Amino acid sequence: MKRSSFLLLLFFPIMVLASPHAEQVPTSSEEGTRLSLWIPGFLIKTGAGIVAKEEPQLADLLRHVGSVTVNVVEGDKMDARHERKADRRIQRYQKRHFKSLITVLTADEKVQVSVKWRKDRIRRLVVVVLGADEYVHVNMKCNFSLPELLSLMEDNAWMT
Amino acid sequence: MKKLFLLVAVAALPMMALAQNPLNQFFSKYAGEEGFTSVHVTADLFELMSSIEMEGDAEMEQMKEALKGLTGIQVLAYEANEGQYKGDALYVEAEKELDVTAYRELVRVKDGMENVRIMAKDLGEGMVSQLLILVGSPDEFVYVSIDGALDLNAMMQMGNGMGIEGLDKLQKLQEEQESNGTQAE
Repeated sequence: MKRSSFLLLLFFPIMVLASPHAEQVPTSSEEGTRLSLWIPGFLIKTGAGIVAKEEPQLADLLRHVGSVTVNVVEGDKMDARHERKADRRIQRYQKRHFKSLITVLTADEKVQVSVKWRKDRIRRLVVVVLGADEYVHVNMKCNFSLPELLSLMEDNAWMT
Repeated sequence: MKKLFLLVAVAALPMMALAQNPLNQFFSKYAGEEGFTSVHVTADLFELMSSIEMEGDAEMEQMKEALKGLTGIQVLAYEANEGQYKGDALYVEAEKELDVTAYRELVRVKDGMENVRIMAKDLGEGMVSQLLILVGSPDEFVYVSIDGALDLNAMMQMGNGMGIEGLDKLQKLQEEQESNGTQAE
């Protein structure tokens, strides 16, 4: 009872925050998704406490994560405007001294990972994915070191 | 007015040199084309890695040492079944366009239908300023360019560990060195 009410308490704010902006439109006339989501840090840390027993490594990672902003546009909701938005976003981050670490480009998709770090800890992580019919932007406040991230990626069973 | 003109000309010179760099031109020509996957790793990633303290982890320390002088990695990988080109034709084009005569050839291997060529620009004392790897076969083409002050021995050690396509071919350089050493004995 306690656990289920705790879970409800955890997810209710996410639903409230997400719902004004989330559009899931599988109608017959148009298909596409536009989603804007902001998850505050305290909820993520609460989630870390919940998964700590089953996935201790994931819990450890989540404890180092602050707020997360996710924007997703795909399908019919995607247009040239979002492509321009993605480019403007990338330029804005560069002006704000984000360092672009890696860019992967294929015929269908561009993925750019940028970070801001202080001393040897990553404090902000930004991922922008721009494809022909999708646009994803993730902006995360965090506080982890590259070895922590790398060691987590080595044992990445929780990612699949 | 004259001063301003001179200032603009001096400021523009490095940019013009960069634009005319045949490696960047070749990379930009095919990045984003059908069948091509391009990866550009910036100097900032290496700066981040070099700032990390990794006491006790010998492998990471070795990688850190190898990556210390790097200023960038460009990888261009092509699968013939996804595009309109033949991999070996791209290999020949790369050899022509990249002015390979300016490089010292370290390894050339022909393994069946696959050609591998590893070249470098020397800095002396086991260090190189640029490492170029070309792999071509009818089904695929891989181009890897690594810039910076590189310790060749360290690069050979960690070629596989970086997980970047094409860098595993550095193994052939190590094999070549080992066989040269065996023959000398």
